[in-house]
Amino acid sequence: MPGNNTQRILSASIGLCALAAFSAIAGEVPRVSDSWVRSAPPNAKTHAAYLTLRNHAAKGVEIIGVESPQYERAELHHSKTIAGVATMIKQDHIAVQPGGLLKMVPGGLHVMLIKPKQPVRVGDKIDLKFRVSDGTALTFDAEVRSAGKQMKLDHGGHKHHSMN
Amino acid sequence: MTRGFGLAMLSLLFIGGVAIASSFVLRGEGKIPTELKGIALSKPVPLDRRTFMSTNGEAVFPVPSRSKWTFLVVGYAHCPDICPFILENLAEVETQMLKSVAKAKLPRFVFLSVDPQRDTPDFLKNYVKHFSDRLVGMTGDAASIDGLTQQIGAFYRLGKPDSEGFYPVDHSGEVFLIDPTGRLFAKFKPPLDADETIDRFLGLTAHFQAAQL
Repeated sequence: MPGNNTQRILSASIGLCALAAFSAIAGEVPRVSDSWVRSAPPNAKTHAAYLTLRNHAAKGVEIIGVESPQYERAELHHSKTIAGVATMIKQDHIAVQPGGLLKMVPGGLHVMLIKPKQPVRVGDKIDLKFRVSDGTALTFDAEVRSAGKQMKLDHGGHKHHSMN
Repeated sequence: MTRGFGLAMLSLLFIGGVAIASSFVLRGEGKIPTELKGIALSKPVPLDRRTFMSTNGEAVFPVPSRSKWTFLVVGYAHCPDICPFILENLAEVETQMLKSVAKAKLPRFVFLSVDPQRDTPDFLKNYVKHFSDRLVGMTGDAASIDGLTQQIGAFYRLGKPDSEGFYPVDHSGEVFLIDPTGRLFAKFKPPLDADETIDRFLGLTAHFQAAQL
C-alpha cells in the first residue's frame, strides 16, 4: 500500500497548492463590497459614500486619498457624535491591517463627495478610486440609493480602521 | 346671610385654588412618567419667539399658535452624513405617524440651518423637499439662530474654510420637541425607531395635557 499513501500525500499537496494559489489571488487586492452613495436632495453640494473593505492581503493597506470623476473632489471623513454634538473629522489616511475590515457607515467613517458635476440620481453608479500609499489604486463603484430603513446610525466602536 | 354667603364663596375659592395649585405642582413639574424619563424635560423651557426665514417666507418661531407640536432638527444642508441621516430618519417617523396618528395631532417638522451663508431660504426649500413634503426648512440671522439654539441647549460651531472655501459645521445631533405653547418639552437621540418615537410622542402629549389641566 505505499503507492496509495503517496497518492494521498500528492493529492493533499495539490490541494494545499491550489488553496495557496487561491488565497494569493484573493489576497492581491483588498476588496470593496456593499458600496453605496446616499441619495441626496437635487441641490445638495455634498454626498456621502459608504462601503465595506476587506483586506485579504498579507500586508496592510493604507488609503491616502479618494477621488471620483463625477465630483470636483472627495475626502475621507469620520463623523462622531460626542455628548450629543455631531462633528466631522477629516482623515488624511486610513490604514487597514492584513485580514482587517474597514466599514464606512452612516454616522461613522465615510467618503465625502463634494460638488457633483452632474445631477446624481438614484440608481446612478458613482466611480470611486482610493489612492493607496504604495502607489497603487483601488477602484470600485457605488450605486446611489435611498437609505431606507436598513441603515442604522453608527454609535458604537470607532475602531473600524484598526480591526483585525 | 350675605356674610355667610361671602364666607362660603371665599372658602370655595380657597379650596379651588388649593386644588388647582396642587394639581399644578403634582402634575406640572417633576412627575415625569417612567417611560418618558431621559426624554421629557423636568422643567420645560419657554422659548422667546424670534423671526426666521423659512421656506414659506418670513416666519416667527416658535409658531404662535396653541395647537401643534414641533420636531426640530438643528444642522446644515452641506452636511453629507449626519443631517441627511437624521432628516431621513425623521421622515420615516413622519410616514408612520401619517398612518397611525390623528390628523389634528400631527406635529410640524422643522429643519433649522445654522449656516445661513450657504443655506438661503430658496436653497433650503429645494433641499427639504427631498425628505418630506411637510418638512419646513428655516434659517435666520445670527441673533435669531444663537438665541434659539442657546435656549434649547443646542450647540453649533462653523468650521474653518479649507483652501476651496468649504467648511464643516459641528452641531447638536439631537431632535428637539417643542410643545404647542412654545416651550422646549423633550429631546430625542437619533436613531429614532418610528413606532417607539410615536409612542413616546403620544405619551408626551398626554403628559403635557395632564399638566395643563
